[in-house]
Amino acid sequence: MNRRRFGKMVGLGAAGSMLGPFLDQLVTEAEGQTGDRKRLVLFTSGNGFVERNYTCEARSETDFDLSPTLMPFAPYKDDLLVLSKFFNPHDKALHGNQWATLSVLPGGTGSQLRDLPPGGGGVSIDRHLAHTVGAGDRFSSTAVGIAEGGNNILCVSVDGPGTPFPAIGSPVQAYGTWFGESTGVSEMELRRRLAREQSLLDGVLGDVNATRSRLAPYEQERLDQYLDSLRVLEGQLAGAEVLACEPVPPDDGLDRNNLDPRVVRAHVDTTFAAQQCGLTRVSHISILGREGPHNRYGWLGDMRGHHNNYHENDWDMILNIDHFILGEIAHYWGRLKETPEGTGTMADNTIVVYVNTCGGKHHNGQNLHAVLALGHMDGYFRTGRYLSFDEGQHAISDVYVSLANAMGLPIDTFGDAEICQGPLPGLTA
Amino acid sequence: MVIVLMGCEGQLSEPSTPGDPPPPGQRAPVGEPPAPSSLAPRLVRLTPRQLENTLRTIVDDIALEERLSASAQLGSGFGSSGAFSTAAGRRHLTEPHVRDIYDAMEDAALRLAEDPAALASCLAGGLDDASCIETFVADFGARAWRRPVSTEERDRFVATWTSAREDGSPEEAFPVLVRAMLMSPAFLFRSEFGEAGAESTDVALEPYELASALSYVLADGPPDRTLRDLAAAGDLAAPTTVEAEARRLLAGRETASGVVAFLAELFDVAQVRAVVKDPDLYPDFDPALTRAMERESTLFLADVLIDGDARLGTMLTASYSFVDDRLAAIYGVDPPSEPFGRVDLDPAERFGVLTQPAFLAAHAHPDETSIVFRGRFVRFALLCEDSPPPPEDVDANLPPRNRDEVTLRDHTEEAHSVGSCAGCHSLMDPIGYAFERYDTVGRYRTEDHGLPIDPSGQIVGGELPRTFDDAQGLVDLLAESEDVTSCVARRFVQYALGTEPPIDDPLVVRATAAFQESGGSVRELAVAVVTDEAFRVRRRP
Repeated sequence: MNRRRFGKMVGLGAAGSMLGPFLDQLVTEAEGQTGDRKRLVLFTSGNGFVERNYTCEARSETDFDLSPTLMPFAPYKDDLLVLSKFFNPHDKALHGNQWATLSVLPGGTGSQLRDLPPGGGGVSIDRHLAHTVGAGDRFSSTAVGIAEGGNNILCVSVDGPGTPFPAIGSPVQAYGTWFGESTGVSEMELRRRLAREQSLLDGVLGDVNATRSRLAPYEQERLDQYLDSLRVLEGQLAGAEVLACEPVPPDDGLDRNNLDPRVVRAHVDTTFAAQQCGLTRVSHISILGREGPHNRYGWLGDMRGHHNNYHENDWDMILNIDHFILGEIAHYWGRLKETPEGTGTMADNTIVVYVNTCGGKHHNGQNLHAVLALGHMDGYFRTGRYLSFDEGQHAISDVYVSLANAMGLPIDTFGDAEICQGPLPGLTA
Repeated sequence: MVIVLMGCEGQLSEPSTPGDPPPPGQRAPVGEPPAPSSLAPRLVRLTPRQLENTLRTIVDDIALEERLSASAQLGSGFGSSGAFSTAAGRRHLTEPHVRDIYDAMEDAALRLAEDPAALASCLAGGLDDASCIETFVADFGARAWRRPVSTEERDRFVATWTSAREDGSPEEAFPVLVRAMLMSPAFLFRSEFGEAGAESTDVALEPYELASALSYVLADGPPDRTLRDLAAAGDLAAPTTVEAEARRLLAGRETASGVVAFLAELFDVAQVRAVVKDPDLYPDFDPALTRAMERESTLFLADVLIDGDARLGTMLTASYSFVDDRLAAIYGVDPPSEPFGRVDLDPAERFGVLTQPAFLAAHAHPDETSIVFRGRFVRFALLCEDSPPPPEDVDANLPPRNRDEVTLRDHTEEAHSVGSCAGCHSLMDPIGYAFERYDTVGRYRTEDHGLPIDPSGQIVGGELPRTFDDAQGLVDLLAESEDVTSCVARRFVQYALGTEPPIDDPLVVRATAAFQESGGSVRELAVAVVTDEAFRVRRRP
């Protein structure tokens, strides 16, 4: 019996569901989190979010018409920031910045690294926030993603050189990981189970330490990684508590990681639940967010695959696919706006961001990155604005600094310090 | 060594160097790949497939590979990532991956606990007898860990069981114990520490380590009883015994799985699963067909290796294969009586693995072939030569082509003859021309939209530049090429040792010599590597 099945077996059931929103609010208020807990949800995709599609007709920063591509955000135009033409000079490949997209440091592309896994030269912005503002959360950050083929999940979250942070591919697995211990169980069952898990981890940790003590220092590092990860896991388990919120598990049929609108939506909703239940405050949802994947958005009528639509200049289909991706982001934002928190809604304390790893062109779009963001972060950002900078004026890391500041992390540089000028000017209230 | 001509900046695939130190609190990468000929004592992490194969010797229906592969980040196949699955041993045990191991081992432990008596006969009497639990730890450990369990280890795991028993029933505590043993480094890794207490700098692997090293490299799984008995008796030390064991393993379908996996990864046969085709042109191209293509090429490579002459040249030139009904239709031959039976192919059309659909379809666009992808693959996989992406200022899309007026070859030739394109494309494209007689799903054709196809080309650089008339001419040149044999020897060393060797690594030099002397036998290449001193001796730093 795995934890997910275990979680389903005993529990609050329907009563929990009905009480859910009410309990959420009580818990939030009891924990004094109202207004304090800032959250970031990052969406990424690949193949390019091209300049012609994100460019809006603008008479001023605040007086602009959404481009056709941005229409899924029409109901939320006042919450939106359209920021564009940022450069990222690192890990440039034909198809985007690869692992440097979110780290803005040179690391090496897949084709240059052999035995070591690829992964940017630094930590990605989501994982940097995980290690800082998210460090006390049960899950310092979450990452989910779709696989291109086989098991190759395309996601550019990374903890450091050569250390990608793997995304979870199946929404069912993600749900089990985040909620398995803590939903639908009685307090006593949970404690007994966690005690057994602790025996397990004590045993494994003792065994790893005993093995480690026999190794030369240079070889201990390999087990140190294991120890580090086991301790994180131990902390995740120790922090398990019977949650007041009652998330809805994805259908068992969605235990897969392929490009399917139901799988994507399940990732979106499960991530929302993890944030709503307070398990994490930093999340990454990668819809094939690395390089130029060839997957077919078949349900949209995409016959030749995302990648080849660019090569064939099929702008109608690219628009359809952009609408799907932005539609998922809008769905997430809509859920935030309808979920009470404190005296407002979750949307008051959350920023939802979209970055395309290829930048503003399918090939070599690294100087034309756009960043879309929904959320004022409790009045920190002035939203409802369209800011297009001159090419070469700002590195994309300036945007990441602004996001980190809005999350309560007072940094003034991120990634490559030579090109980062600090927070993007003119964003804050 | 291949000489790179005409200004292509393509680098030979030398190992990378790590970047700047990580921020505090994060671990550095494991380090620069060490030279295979002087490896230090080390832990080698097993791949998800090797872990699965290990447990399947105990319970045959356990699945771990699919469950663990995504978070293990094995990459996207050798052809695109340049890393074999065995490089997993150098990857980080990241937090999400360890979480995955934790979950997967729970399922595995519960499956194993379904029939405790099969794991230790005394458990038939119940799961609450401490002395029987001791017996179980020793017996199960010996199988799962591929070596005897020390007294200290046994006591430690019995204590884990005792602790779990305090918080749960015997039925709850027993899987906790099994799971702890499956999360032990003794299960997840194999060690190459060498004999304890040895004084010298160079230490030979101890017998159980050598048995595991041989078995996981050649068989992709744990040592069988014969190897375990040899290790227990201390009879594995003699080089002749190691060679005899290697030859025994390489003679069997199951026990040569590691070398078959090497060949399948080298020729990137699984990559076809990741491609799509234009459904208007190829409505039948579905996941079942791509799996059949992958299976075909894997069966073919295994057949040459195990039942054939094992020569790389045969893998590159033979005109037979193993097909089902759908593949038979692609080849235009009668289907065999049994699915994936052997069929002879037209010797004027098909020549080895590079003319099979798995390669041809994986290295092509959805609606037409790709001269560049196919040519680049050959230069990378078989000539150990990489090429950089197109320069930034170049539109890497071919200009639109009127397919009724100009062939893809002529169109490509014209587009790539100018400026910064020519340097690299003059190396890749003339090899890719050879495959133009195979469409994007691998069907043979003589015309490109009604225009005759010219499949002639040349291998530029390296040994004397050689021209060829068609795919057969190309594969014949590749089959005879010393550049190819030295590259493939280097690739096998990379696969077997889990670390990419420099081109002049002494082990690579010795392996290349043995490979060439044997007339290009992959079997002899494998024997040469696993019997080499570098395979069984570790050097203390």
